[in-house]
Amino acid sequence: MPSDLEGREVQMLDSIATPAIAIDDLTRTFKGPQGRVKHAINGLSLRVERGEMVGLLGPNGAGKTSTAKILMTVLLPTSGKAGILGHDVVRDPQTARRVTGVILGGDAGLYARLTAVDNLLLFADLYGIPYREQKPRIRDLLDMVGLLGNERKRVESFSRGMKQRLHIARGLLHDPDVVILDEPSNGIDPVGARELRALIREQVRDGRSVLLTTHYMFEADELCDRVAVMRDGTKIAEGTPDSLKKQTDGQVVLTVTVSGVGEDHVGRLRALPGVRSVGLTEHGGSQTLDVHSGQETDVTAAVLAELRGLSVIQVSKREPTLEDAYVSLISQDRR
Amino acid sequence: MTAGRLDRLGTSAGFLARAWRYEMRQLIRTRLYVFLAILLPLIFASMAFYMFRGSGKQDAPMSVALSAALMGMWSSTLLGSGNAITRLRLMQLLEPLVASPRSTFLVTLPFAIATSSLGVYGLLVTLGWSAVLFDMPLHLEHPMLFFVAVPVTVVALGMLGLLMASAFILYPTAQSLANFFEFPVWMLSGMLVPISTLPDPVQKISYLLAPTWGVKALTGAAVGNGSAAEAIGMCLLLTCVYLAITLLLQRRFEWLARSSGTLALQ
Repeated sequence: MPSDLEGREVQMLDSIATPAIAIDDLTRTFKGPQGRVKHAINGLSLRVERGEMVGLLGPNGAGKTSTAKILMTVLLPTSGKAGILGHDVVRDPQTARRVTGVILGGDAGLYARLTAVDNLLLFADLYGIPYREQKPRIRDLLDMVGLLGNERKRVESFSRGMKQRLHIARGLLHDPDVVILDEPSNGIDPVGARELRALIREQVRDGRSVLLTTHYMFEADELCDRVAVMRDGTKIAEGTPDSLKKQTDGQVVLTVTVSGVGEDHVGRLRALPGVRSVGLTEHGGSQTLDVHSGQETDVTAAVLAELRGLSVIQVSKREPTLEDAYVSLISQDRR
Repeated sequence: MTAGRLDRLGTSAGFLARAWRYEMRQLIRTRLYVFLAILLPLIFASMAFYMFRGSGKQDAPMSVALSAALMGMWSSTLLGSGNAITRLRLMQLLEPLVASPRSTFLVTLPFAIATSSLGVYGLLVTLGWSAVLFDMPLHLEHPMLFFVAVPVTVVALGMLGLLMASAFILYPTAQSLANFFEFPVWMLSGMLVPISTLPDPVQKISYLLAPTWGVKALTGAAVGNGSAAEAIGMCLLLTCVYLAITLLLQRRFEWLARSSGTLALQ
């Protein structure tokens, strides 16, 4: 029979072994128009260990935000399990909420007509932070996110980047062990995004576990220990950023600036021999086609033949980037 | 009481005070709401007085003013509570608030308190308006009972509004329900017509509505007809029942809203 001390040790070891976030076979469906069922998440399993930052990547509609919302306890899963530090988000949401910091992207989600400090005081009360601790903690957080000096200004006068930094301060008010960041750099200028990434990196240095949802591969590469890529609700890849980058080894990207390309053209290009994936980016008047192929096959002539009759502005070849690895992964099964 | 529990109580009170202040600021800046909370009772009172004079009856003008004030108060409470939830959803604040470790009840309570606060203002303004423009004597039969009946009635209306606002958490389009409930409560609680004129089965529903007892308590204390103390007691009892139902419903509605994904802006 184990002694009390042994029992406590076992308990302590158990708590250390419990991952920060554990998601098992998670599914979430929504009813669409005409009662059609759409899988926002389809059988997702994922672990975030303590002190680790994991990126959840994917295009819009991949299921990243639905996953984040289930972990935030504002959405229930259709099936499967999700837990934060061992607290089930369905059966024990109150405890899960106490240990989780939620940082949303975008410029909404704040009391626009209140000052930054009033926003934080309101949430400090809501999270039960004792009065004597509220003001010093808020001051420290405002200092950390670089909003000291602006704390008495109304949030509606803030830039998008300032609002995002306030979101971070609010998410960290109750000193959570686990932080969920839902597309934090969405719509922020490059300089602001870089500052934001530095802030996020500090959180892991402080021992927090972070789940970051983003559709920026470079962001995940810079910040995350591991990344999982989702598409149409399903996890299609998981590993370190380096291991994902290797997916593009031996590839070349043909970039064509053109106008008038439609989905039918993209479909025909994807079907060409040697083409692995095709990405299309709109730029107002023109479009950019990124055609990925193996180094052994030159697809230039075949691609240009498919685009005959359209206005081709520029053609160039380049080595694949990290972004290409992600695009390649996302568009692989769409061929 | 432990220090942790004291902290929790203190921060709950702090949240209520801060959120109430914020909500008042929001309401005062909403033109439609200002119209409903301040001008509508005056319009109701004016119409009621003209009708009252036309009827040739000379008794109890105070009852007319109080009923008009309560009609305006109910409209503004119902709209205010619904508006608050809709606004939170539009500002994408409903999710972070629900994702906090406190109950949804605490999150929504400041709306009811804020609309009720403006309700008291509406009541006082209506009485003043009626006294100045229609020479209504500002005489109270039982002033002490009247000053107890006012907060009790206001809280009863606020709680009924909160009970209905619970549905707004679940259904983003539930605000249209507010219009549906506005007129029936006027009728059923005796604000618009005496309850005695309603059919018997409908009267039974009337007595389940706290505002019915609120109207009785206020007019009883002001004019001296009926037992104001008994009405205050019934109003309080029913308000407590609403509170219990609201707590249960909000827990259930929060679950359903999480299940259907309707906390977010659709």
